[in-house]
Amino acid sequence: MFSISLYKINQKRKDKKHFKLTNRWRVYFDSFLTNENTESLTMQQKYYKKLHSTEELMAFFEASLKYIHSDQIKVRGEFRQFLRENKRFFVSLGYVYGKKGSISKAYFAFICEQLCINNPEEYDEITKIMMEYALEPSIYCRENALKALYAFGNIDAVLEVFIKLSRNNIIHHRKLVTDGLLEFKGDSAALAESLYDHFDKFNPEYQVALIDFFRFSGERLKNKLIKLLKQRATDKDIVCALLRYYRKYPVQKYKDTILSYLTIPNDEEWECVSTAALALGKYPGEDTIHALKSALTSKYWYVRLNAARSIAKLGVEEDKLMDILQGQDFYAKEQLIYHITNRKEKMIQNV
Amino acid sequence: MYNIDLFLFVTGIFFAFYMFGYATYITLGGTISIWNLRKNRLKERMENELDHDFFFPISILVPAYNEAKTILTTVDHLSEMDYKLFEIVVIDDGSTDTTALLIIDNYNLKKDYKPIRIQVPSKEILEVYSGEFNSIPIVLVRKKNGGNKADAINAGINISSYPYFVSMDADEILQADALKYSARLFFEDDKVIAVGGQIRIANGVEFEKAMPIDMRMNRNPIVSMQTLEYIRAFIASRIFHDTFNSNLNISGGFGLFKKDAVIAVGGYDSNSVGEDMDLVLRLHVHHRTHQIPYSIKYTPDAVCWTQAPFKLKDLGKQRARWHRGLIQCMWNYRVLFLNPKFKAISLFSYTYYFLYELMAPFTELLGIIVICVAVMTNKLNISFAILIALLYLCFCVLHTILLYMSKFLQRGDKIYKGDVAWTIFMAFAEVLLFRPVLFMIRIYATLTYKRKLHSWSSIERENL
Repeated sequence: MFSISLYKINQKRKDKKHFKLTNRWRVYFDSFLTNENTESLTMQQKYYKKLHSTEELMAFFEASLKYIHSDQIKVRGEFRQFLRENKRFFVSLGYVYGKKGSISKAYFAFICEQLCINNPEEYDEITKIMMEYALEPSIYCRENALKALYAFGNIDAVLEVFIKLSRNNIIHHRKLVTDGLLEFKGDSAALAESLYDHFDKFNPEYQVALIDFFRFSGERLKNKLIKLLKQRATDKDIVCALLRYYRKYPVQKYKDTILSYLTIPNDEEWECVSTAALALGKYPGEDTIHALKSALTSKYWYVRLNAARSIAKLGVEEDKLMDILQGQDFYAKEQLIYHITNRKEKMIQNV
Repeated sequence: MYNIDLFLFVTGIFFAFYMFGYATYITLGGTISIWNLRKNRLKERMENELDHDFFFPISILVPAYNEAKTILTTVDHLSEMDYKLFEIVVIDDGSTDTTALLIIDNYNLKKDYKPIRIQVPSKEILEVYSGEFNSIPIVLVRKKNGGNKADAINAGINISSYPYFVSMDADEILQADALKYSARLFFEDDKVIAVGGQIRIANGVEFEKAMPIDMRMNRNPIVSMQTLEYIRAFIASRIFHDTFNSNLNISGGFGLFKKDAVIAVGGYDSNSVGEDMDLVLRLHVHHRTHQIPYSIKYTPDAVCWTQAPFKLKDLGKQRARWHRGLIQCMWNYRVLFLNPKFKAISLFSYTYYFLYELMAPFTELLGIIVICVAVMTNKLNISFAILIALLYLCFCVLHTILLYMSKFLQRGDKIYKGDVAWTIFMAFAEVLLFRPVLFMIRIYATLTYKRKLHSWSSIERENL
């Protein structure tokens, strides 16, 4: 009870202090930005030292929001100039916060991302510090550091950090990686190319995330990724990710490769078979229909489901499906009827 | 006379250890929980959070039996979720009222003949309707009455499209940010198979777009006492047990589960009265027995608001059912009793539930017998007994108030001025009135366990 009351009082005191500190930083920024003399943009040592305290850093960040999000381009530009002039201080702060706990480290990484300390062409100390932070066991610290690297927009840095994460066997959730890469502020196309060129240096978890990133970022790798799909020994998750890629960006000349996944023994890799069945909905042809009809009788639910979906999507006429519709396989029939009916209903609605 | 002395001596020693164990456990639990809440707020303040629009697609399963009064409000609130990709699956468990019709008409659902994959056992599914509301897929499943929530949820699991599902009740309001805060725990740790959220009392709370705007404590004493009880359970106990992955229960009111993990253990057990606890215990036993790494988490940030019974009779019905469910689960999973193979679950959680939940009514009864014997044999040191009783009263009241004050440390929560005095008053009333009532209910539930295990009677509800 006492400790909670104390916490409440302490919190109020902290809020007051935070407000005061934020105002002080605002006044400080104003004094800089109204001064015509650009030499004076360098922060004084005593102010830099204040930023060793997390409370001061939070106040600094809150005060800076006014300038970062200012409606006036001039103010935004001047503040950016101020940050660039004082970049060496942020480098030093990176080392200071590197010795603190993971929560503080994550916060410093967040500040670097938000203030976008670096430009894409820069690969310097602050980038290296963020790469170190990204290897931390704390997921928040890693995520914030990676976000900072994406915001900096340097391709080599992003490439290197994922190689390091793979080497150290540090797994970051694949969705976080994909979503993060899509936020990359530099040349996204060049990043995709570069990641592809070093693809074998990443562990399978990251490889899947990267393929998902390629899928969301465009079709430019469609003639390269097929090599991976042709390698039969590739990890199951990677194959599925690649098949999803070729579902989004169909290339008819690769149909045979995709078809070949529909005929692999179901027991071993039914997930790949199922994804291949779905992808084939974008690859019309007699051979596709024949293969999908066979897949309709698979013992795996998802294979049947996706095969039926693809057959419906391909617009196959019912008379070509009579062998299934009048056959003895109740499950195949059920799936097929449902999806064909759905297709018809949609067509009627569209008319 | 010697036998009475011996009896009083042995029971005295037993109660000394029993109470010491209880006080230690809840003090430790409360302290660790508040520490964790404090750390969570620090992390929030310092941007140590995963913040995404959505993490993975989720099916929200809403079992409903004769819920015509609340179902539309529930679904409307669900459609306000601050999450990008989810579907709402309402399972009409053979309602005799207009539950299904209301949903079909209100959301303009059309009959859907999609093939259903039966992965966990449930009573026959009669019809499926589907449609969209505000671009959110809504599915209505009409099935034969299974007589319990477990069967309805199993039907929902069979029909749902997404790899994760939320299980909740039809008379609840899921806070708009609950999915976001619970789903991200799966990203923080790959081993997570289920996440429980905090259940809070909705009576008297005002909502706007599935977010509470006025959380003043309801002045109905029965509701207030339950509010305090829920705070103790969901703040102290759950957070504490979460620190060593040994929560024995994810409340049926709100739980987010990995569908594969639940299917692997056969889904919900329709023979279980405490189906929520049964499932969690089964998940623990299954994963430990097969040495599969796993984690069952709890987050107080994901909040679901439920209606508490506001009449003593209804409260009695509900609590008797809960206690029978507890007895059934504890008996069915007795393998966990002092079994080193199950580590902290067995040593701490199961033992705590056994001693201070399951056996509590008997211990209390024994206490009454001991006092009577001591009075009759003139062995009772009255002044010392009063002192001990007062100490216990103060301890319980302080514990309750302390945990109530921890609302400061909860995301988006606050303490209303008028509530503090009311809470202090209710904390006393709870120990002096509510606990004796609960004691009687538990004794009754234990005595009628066999006869009334599967009996179910409805509880009066207000419109949300």
